[in-house]
Amino acid sequence: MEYIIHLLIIASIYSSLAISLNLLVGFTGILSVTHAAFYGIGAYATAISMKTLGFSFLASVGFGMLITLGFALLVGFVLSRVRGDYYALGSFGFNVIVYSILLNWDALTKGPLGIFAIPRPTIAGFTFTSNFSFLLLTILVCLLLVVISYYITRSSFGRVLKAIRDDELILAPFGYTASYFKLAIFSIAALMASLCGALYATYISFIDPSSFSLNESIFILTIIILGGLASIRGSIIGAMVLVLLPEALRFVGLPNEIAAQLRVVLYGVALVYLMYARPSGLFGKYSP
Amino acid sequence: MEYFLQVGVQTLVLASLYAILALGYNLLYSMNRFFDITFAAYCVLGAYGYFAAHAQGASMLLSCLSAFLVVGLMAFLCERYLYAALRGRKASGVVLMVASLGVLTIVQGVIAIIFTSNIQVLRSTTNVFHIGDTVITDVGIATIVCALLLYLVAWYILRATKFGVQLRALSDNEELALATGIRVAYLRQVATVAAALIGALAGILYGLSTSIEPLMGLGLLLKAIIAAIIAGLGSIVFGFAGAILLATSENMAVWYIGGGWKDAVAFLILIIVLLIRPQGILKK
Repeated sequence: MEYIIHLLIIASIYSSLAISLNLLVGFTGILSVTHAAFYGIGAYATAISMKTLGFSFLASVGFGMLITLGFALLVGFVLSRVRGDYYALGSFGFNVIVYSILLNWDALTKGPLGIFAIPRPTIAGFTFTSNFSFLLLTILVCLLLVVISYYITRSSFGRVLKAIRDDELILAPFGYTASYFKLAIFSIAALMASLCGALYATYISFIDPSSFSLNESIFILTIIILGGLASIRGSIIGAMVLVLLPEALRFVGLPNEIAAQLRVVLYGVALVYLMYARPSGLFGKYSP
Repeated sequence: MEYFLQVGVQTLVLASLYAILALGYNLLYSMNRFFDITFAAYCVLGAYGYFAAHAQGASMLLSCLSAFLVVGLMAFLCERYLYAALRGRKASGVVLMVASLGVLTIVQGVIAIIFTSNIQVLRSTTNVFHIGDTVITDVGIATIVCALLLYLVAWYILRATKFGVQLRALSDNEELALATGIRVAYLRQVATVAAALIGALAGILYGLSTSIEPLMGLGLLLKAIIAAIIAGLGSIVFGFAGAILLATSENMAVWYIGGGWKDAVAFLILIIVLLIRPQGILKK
């Protein structure tokens, strides 16, 4: 039972990450491959401010989001001047740079050793010690992000985002400055990822740079491509499938090492097949 | 001064490796016009093809040839049956890129299942040559020679043969090339296989000088892309200059701030170039 709760916690954290990335990739058409960087900044900032500065959980999350916002504005501004495929490449670069900082700034991040013994969150006197209570917390956050995304995509703001995706140039004559909207949604998505990072850090209670590498960004991107672009439901289903399916492979009786790699092969096959048969993903409403 | 010379030699070797990577990538990009991640798979598969043949007792040359055979076949199959089909469906660059990411993921996974995901070495001994005060390995010399030869050959083919002219025509304007009767699909296959073989060679040289693991491809691919973009993506002969710039700044970063920052510096340069001159420093 504990095992299932653990899997569900991980799956709902990834659902939240996927929902936030889908705001960028699916709804706005910005191919960002740097989500794990913001996820990592959130995790590290929360962990450090809880452990070293002695902040409470909520204050730490706020602190983490503030730092993430600063980074997101900077990166979003820099990347806003780059287009198309080059955007993906530039965002790759930002992920690698953040990963290098996490790995090499020993004094702050403890480098490859990572940060141990991060306490569980306490909100209004209640500490989420049991995994079940933590699961409720992650589901609550996930629902919150679903509601926010739902309203964003159905608001006039969201319609501008979709217009940017479908034809950016058409917006200028109507008096919209696309780059402001892109920067805004980039920052919102980054803040959401930062919140997910805070949950991950306090749940696992140990973080190291390897959880926030470029491969992690690619994994989150795989979730939304599989689940479906511009679909909130697709993000959640994609995360469930990609987190839970590999665990099922464990019970087939393959050795762990081979099962782990087989799962990687399956992702690859799924990606290639989807790009051929259905580029918008399983539940997607937008095809890149 | 000794150190300085030694760092210079090492930079030259690294630059040559990047130059080979950039040449392969430029060739691939100028034909296919999307960020093809399969290139990383060609590098890894080349290194592991060599590894597998060498483990069976094959000589160096034979191991290289068998690696080329495997990679060439894979490149042909990918281009002929996957990318051509996707293009036929009017797939966008992003769709092609994600599909190629899928191919890399499959190759990495299969290699890890067959050879385990541990770090392995292609050979245990290294021959070292002393030139004056500096030291260079045999692989280092081979890398420099390969890079120079490949660029000479590429330059000759692109400038002086009918095949090269057709390649350049195709890379300039696909529809016009089609209209003038150039066999576009065939040319693409040849160029893709050639680029894949260059990638495989880079993978083998890299593996011989350090070690190999299934995940090594992405790093090599990113270096190839950065070197190619610095000089101007698609301008095949300039790639060498981009590689020298990239290798020099990486080694300076290692020297002044520490080895861990190498990749960060490489990407910082990429981002700066993308901001200031997205078409590349040398391209007109």
